[in-house]
Amino acid sequence: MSQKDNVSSESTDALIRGLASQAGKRRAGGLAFDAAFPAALIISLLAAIAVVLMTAGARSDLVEILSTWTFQFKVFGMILIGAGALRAVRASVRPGSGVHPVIGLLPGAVFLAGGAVFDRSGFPIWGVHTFSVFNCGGIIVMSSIPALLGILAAMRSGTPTRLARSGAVAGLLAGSIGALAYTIACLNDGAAFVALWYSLAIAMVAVLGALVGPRVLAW
Amino acid sequence: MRAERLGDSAAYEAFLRDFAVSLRRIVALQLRQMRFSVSETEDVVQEVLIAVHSRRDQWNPDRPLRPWLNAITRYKIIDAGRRLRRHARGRIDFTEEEWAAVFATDEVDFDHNVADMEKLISELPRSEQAAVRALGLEGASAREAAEQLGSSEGAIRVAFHRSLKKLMAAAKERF
Repeated sequence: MSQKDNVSSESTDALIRGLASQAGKRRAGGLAFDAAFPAALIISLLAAIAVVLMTAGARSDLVEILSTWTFQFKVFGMILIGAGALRAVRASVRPGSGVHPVIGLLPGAVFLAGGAVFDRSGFPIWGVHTFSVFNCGGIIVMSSIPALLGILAAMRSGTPTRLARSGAVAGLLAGSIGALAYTIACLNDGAAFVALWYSLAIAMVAVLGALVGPRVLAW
Repeated sequence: MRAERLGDSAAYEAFLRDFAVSLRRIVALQLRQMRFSVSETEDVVQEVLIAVHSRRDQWNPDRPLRPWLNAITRYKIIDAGRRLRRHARGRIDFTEEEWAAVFATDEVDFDHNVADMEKLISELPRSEQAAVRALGLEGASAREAAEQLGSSEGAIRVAFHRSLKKLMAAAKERF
């Protein structure tokens, strides 16, 4: 072993002694993830609703459709996806928690796919208007952006160790929040439409999250 | 790690020391696999120790410690690998001036050097300049150029050929 190795080993020893002397002292300042995350979620949902109201506006018959199964299908599907993504986000800021994100998404995916397969409404897959797909996907992505930023900001107070994956699950959660907000505006009540295009929009936000994750979440 | 929360420095120090030993081994192994100098090992070891220490409040005592430590170690090793690679590239890379020197040659290449071309064209009479630019550079047809310049198709053609001859002569004479 060269002399250099001995020297750096000594500096490591000194570092360890220094760190050990801080035993039992809590870190001051900085909001912990568990405190920041619920706040980020609430703000995200409110921001997403605000974006939807500003761009598309709520459905005029919103009160009447609340009890229809098509509306509830959308809401429940998005909540299921969101719940899976939420679990994945929480796991991704805890090093070594060993939960694969895909497993948590299965219930929501199965629910949406089932709805699409058993969709007997005959509702057109391309939506009621020529631009339905474009419009709906665009607004979901837009209303997800503030949510994505908020969730990523909250994740920075945790310890993400796989940054692209963490960014992707943040995008999934943000996307499902955006889609959930969009249900109050969406005129397309076909289950197949929802299953296909909502999912695609959420996936786009997930890809966006995976792209920015490594830059934003590095520590 | 649990002892640390109770403020037991001695036990925490023993833990960090044990951890550093296994850490040193895994970091050295990984650096060697990535073909980086093993002399970086201590730096990375210290980075991991600091990371673990500064985030120790985030470890949930109900969960196993090993995977938590491993995930942070893995992250910091990848991070170090990325940094070292950037570093290595920095050493191989030319500076701006060196790159400039590589490309600065005395030869003039009209096909690829717009500036030299422009210099020659600008020495032509004004009417001929317009014809060359329209036909030669913008790729317009003789008729389009004529319309654009308010001239006849034939006049444009003549101006274009005349100026091409001049350009060839000027290029030969100069370079």
